[in-house]
This record gives sequence, structure tokens and C-alpha cells, in this order.
Amino acid sequence: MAKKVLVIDDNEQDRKIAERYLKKSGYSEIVMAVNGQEGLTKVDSDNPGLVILDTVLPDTLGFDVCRKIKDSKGSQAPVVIMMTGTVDAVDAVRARQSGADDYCVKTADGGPLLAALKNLSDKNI
Amino acid sequence: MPVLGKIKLVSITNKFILGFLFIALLPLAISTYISYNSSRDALREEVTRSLLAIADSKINQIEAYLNAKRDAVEELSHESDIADILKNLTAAYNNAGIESEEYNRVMAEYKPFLLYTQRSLGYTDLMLVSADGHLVFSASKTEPRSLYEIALYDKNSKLARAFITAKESSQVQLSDFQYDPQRNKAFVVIAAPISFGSDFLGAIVVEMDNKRLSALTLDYEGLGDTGEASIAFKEKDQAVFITPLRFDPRAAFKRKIAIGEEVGGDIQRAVEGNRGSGPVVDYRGKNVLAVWRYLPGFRLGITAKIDTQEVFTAATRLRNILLEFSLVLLVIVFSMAFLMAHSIASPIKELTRVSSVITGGDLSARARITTQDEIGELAGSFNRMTDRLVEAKASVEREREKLEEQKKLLEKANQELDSFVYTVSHDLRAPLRGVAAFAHFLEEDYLDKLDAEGKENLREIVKGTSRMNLLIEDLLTLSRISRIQNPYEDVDIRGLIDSILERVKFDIKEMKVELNIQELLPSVRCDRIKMSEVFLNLINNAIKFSAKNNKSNPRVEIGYADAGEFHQFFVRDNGIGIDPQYHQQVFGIFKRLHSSEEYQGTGVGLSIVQRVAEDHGGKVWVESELGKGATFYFTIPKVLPEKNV
Repeated sequence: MAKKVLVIDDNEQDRKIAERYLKKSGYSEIVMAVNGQEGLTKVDSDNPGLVILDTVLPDTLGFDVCRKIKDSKGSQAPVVIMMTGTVDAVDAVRARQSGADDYCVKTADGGPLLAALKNLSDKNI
Repeated sequence: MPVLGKIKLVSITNKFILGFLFIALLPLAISTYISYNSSRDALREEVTRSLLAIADSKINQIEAYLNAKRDAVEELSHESDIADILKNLTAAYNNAGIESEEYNRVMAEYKPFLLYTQRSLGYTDLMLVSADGHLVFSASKTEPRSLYEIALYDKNSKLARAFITAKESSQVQLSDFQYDPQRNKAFVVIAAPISFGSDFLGAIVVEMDNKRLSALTLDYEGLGDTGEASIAFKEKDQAVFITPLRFDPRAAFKRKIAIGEEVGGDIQRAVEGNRGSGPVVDYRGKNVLAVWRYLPGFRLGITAKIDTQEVFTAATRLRNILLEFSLVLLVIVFSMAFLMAHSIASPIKELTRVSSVITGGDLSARARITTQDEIGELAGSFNRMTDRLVEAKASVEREREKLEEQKKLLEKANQELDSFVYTVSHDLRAPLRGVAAFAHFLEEDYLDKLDAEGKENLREIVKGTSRMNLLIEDLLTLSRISRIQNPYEDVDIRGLIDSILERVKFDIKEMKVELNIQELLPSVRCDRIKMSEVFLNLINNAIKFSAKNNKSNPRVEIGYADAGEFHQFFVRDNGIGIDPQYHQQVFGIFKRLHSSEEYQGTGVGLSIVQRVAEDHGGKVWVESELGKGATFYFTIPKVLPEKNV
């Protein structure tokens, strides 16, 4: 569980909420990025094992960032969970197509994110 | 009436022509017929009358001529000079004979006078006959024998017979005409007795040919192309012409007509001593109109005649003139009828043409009729009507454009509103999520450190955030209903309801709701996701209200009815019911009849139901009375309207 996690989200509150639930799930080393460009840079520099990625970013779309991460790293690419503030079936499909490993909705209680993280640990990724 | 039926098919032009022809030609035909008939009769009468007049004048000329010749002889017979000459010549003839000196001397004395007399009176011969019948003077012949002697041998001698008869009757005698083949001439002999006191001295006898008579009959003036006069005498049982005929110049004494023969009826009647006129067959066998007379003093029959055909030629000419006149009139009537019909029919045709052009959609067409009559007025009001039509169409078009514009504006406003609702709801979520999350964290981390009031306040924050979250979720659902168009598919409604019941099974179990679902539910072509929202909201509502009102026996019923072109579904509960005055309002957004304390929910559910039903071309309504439960109906068309995505 010593994986480094990168959270890419422009919303500060959402980053904090994510951080809390990540820590609750046992991830201690958490790096933040507030836009797509910074996120990609930190993927290179910090080499995280897991990326929590918002679908809507100020400079680009999360789907594009996801595609770039997966393309540049190949088999060495980190696990990507995409999070969204909207509830839309189309977004889930796009996330899959962009190469994301999982997709969840942002909620106050963090239920979907916790479920996704548990799902990951079950698969022992 | 089949005739009237056929008349309906005839064009106006032809009706006019037929009508004009009927009106003009019927009187024309009648008047022509009458005038032709009366004219023909008048003409015939006229021709007959003029023929009679000419015949009379011919006959009179002939009679006068013959009388003049006879009278001249008679006068000579009474002259003392002639009696003296006859006496002296007779004496010389008897004394010395015809060869003697004495006779020649006497003859030489009188011969110039006698020859002069003969020539001046136009006789071919002049003879003096002694009482015993000897020719004591003749201008052209010598006859040694006495006329008595001649009469013994030649009974037919006109000369001898005339002399003897004249002597016996003491009157002028006229013989029949006689033809002399040697001289190729016809003669008549006139003998007048000469007396001195009671003594019969002898006679003066003249011979006269038919030249002058022929000239009279050969004058055809007033007799047209076929008319002629003819003279004949009766010899035995034959009528013998003594003059040439118009169509037989060698007829004199050669042409004879037996009495009783079929031809020459006119001359037969004349020589038989009759007088009359009428249609007969002439010597040529032709039908003629003839006049016949008999001159007893000369024993001559005279006729004047003209071919019936010629008489009728005039009538035929008249008839032809009338026919030509009728023909000209016919052409005039026809032209007039055509012109009149044209002047009426062509504006009507023009109107028909223009109205069919207008019917075809070209409202710029106008009738070009400038006449001032009723048809002109009709065309004028037709054109004004078309103007009005153009105006009305333009105003309808303007109204339609206005409506279209308003519709677009409304649609745009609706879209903007939906978009606004979506944006606002969406943007509200993130801060709300923050509030809820951090309130939750507060609850997790610091609940122990709060006193009772602090705990209560924190709980209210959490409650408020979750209520607001519900509202936002519902608003998003509502806006998504309008915003997103999913493809239509055939949806098994029973399966759809079952999946919904799966989502609300907790409530059903908790509230002990008795659920009745109609066994046979159809498969319906619709937007599956939206349709599930409809059933979810209606079933949720029904569970909520029936359970609240009727705790001992809450009941929900789902059913279906085939409503012709629509599928009709209903969801019924035995809850508190709805006052009819709110039946329309319940479908309004955020419209709640009860506080959220009593019944949870946001008041968006029925709006969603209404939007989905109307989006499919159906409708939704409620039947209910206060306290007696409610039944919500909605319809979906079996054939869906086209989506304008």
C-alpha cells in the first residue's frame, strides 16, 4: 500500500475530500495537481502508482490527460481512477475509452471512491 | 330530360349559335317559303297574263292583216273602174279571143293599172274572171280554160272553188291556204264578185302568199326564249301549220298533227274551233303554257305558248335569289351569334383560366376584361376578391411568421432555461458536496467534543445538505429529460416495472404496501430511460401517499388500457387523494400540496412524468377526490411523432 497517489483536480475542496478518503484507505503519500499540464508533469516527476483524475479541468479534459498518461508510460503507466461531479453514463464510457481503470462519482460521503479503491486493493494492483 | 342533359354539355358559343340560328332561321324559312310560293303563283299568273296579251296581240295582228287583205279585194270589187275594166276585157275576150288585136289593145290600156294595184296591195297575183269563168286578166298566169271547166276536173282547185262560191254567195270568199310545191310557197285565194246592178259581171280574184304571216309569227318579242305563235288550218283530220315554227323552221305545210294525237294539244284545240288557255303538251312533246284561238272567217287556228320550264325558270330564279338571300342572312346570323357568344364566352373563359391559375397557387393572375357590362363587373369583383385573397394570405403569412418567431423565441427561452437549470444545479453541486463532506468530517472527528446543541446544529446542517442534494439531483434529472434524447426502442413495460420495483423494494417491504400489477402489459416503443423515470416517480408517489394515509392497508395498482391510437397506463393508490382544484397544479415544478415534513420529495417528480409523456406526444392527468385515493393516467402514442433532435 505504499503507492504514491497523484490527485489531479482544480477544486480544492474536492482535493481535500479525496485526500481524506485516500488516507482512510491507507494511501499515505499523496501529491496534488490543479490542472492537466501540472498533472502530466507530476506523473513524470513523482512517478505515482495511482492517479485520481477529475473529468473536467481548467486547461483540458480529464479524458485527454488519461489518454496521455497511458500512452506515454505504456505498461509502466499508473492506475487511473476518473472522478466526476456529474452523473452521466456517457462519461463512464468515455473514461473506459480513454484507458481509465475505474470511474466513480464524487459524493460527500466518498462512497463510490472508497468502493473503487477497495476494488483496486482486492485486485491487488 | 336527355335533351336538356345534352344541352348542358354544349358550350356557350354553340348555344348562342344554335339559339340565334333557331330564332333567325325559323321565321326566315317560313317567310321564304310563303313568299316563294306566293311569288311563284303570282309569277305564273303574270306570265300567263302577258302570254295571253301577246297571243291576243298576235292573233289580232294576224286577223287584222287577213281582214285588210280581204277588205281590199272587196273594195276593189265595188269600184266602177274595175267593173268597167272587167266589162271591156270580157267584151274583147269574148269578141276576138285572147290572141286578138282588140284584146291586146284593151289589155295594153288596163294592164299597167292592174299590175300597179296588184303590187301596191301586196298580192302575188290579181285576176279578173268573167261571169262564165274565164280569166280575162292575170298578172302572172294564162289559163285558157274556164274556171267552171277547171272545177269539173280539179275539185281541189282553190281558185275555182273560191270563184264559184263567191259567185253563188255574192260575197267575198277566202280559200284555205294551199301549198305549191313547185314554187315552194303557200297561197290563199280571195275572190270577190263584181256586179253591175243586178247583173253578175264576174269576179276579182287575188292570190296571196304566207310570207307576211310567217313574219308575224317569227316575231318572238315578249315570248322569252321558248315562246312562239303558230298558225294552222284543219285539213281532213289534221292540223297543218302554215308558218315556220321556232323549233322547226321548215314546218310550214310539212308539219301536221293528227287530231287526237298526244302532242300539239294547243293547235288541235285551236283548229277545232276552240278558244282557251292552260298547260298542254306542244308539238315537240314539251309541257307548255298555251293560249289558243280560232278565226272562223279564215278557218285558222292560232296558238301562242311558252315552255312551262321557262315560266318556272323565273320562279326558280326567284327561289334561288331567296335561297342566296337566306344564305347571306345565315352567314350574318352565324357571325353575329359567334361574335356575341365570343364576347360573352371569352371573358368567361378568361375568368375560368385566371381562376384555375389562382387555384394553382399563382395569386398574381388577374382577369383582363375591360368591358363595362355585367361580365366586366363580375371580372372586377373577381379581381377585387383575388386582391383580398392576396391581402388575407399575406396577413396570415405575417401572423404565421410572428407565431413562428414567437415559437422560436419560446423554444430558445426554454432551452436557455433548461441549460440554466442544468448549469446552476451542476455548479451548486461542488460547493454543496464540500459542505456535506466537511460537515460529515466534522461529525466523524469532533462529535464527541460537541455538546447536545452543537450536535443538533451539525445534524441540521447534514439534513439541509442532503435535502438540497435531492433537489439538485431532481432538477438535473428534469433538465436531462428535456436535454437528452435517447433513441426509441421497444420496451417491455413489465420488465421495466420489475426493475423499478427492485429499486423501491425496501420501501414496499417497510410500508407493507399491497401491490397489484395487471398481468398483461404491452411492449411499448419509447425512450427507455425516460419511461423508467415516469414509472419510478408515479410508483414512488403512490407508495408514499397510500402508506401515509392508509397505514393498515396501503395499496398500489398498476394497469393498462388500449385507447385506440394510444397506450394508456395508470398508477392508482388509496392515499389521501387530491382536491380537484389542484389537479392541474400537481404537475407544476416544485408544486407540493404538503410539507416536506409530511411527505418527502421535491415536487419535481410529476413534472418529470408530464414532460416525458408530452415529449412522446402523449399526456398525463389525474382522477381523484379528496380522501378517496388518486389515479394517475398517462398515454403514449402507438405511432410516435418524429423527434427533432
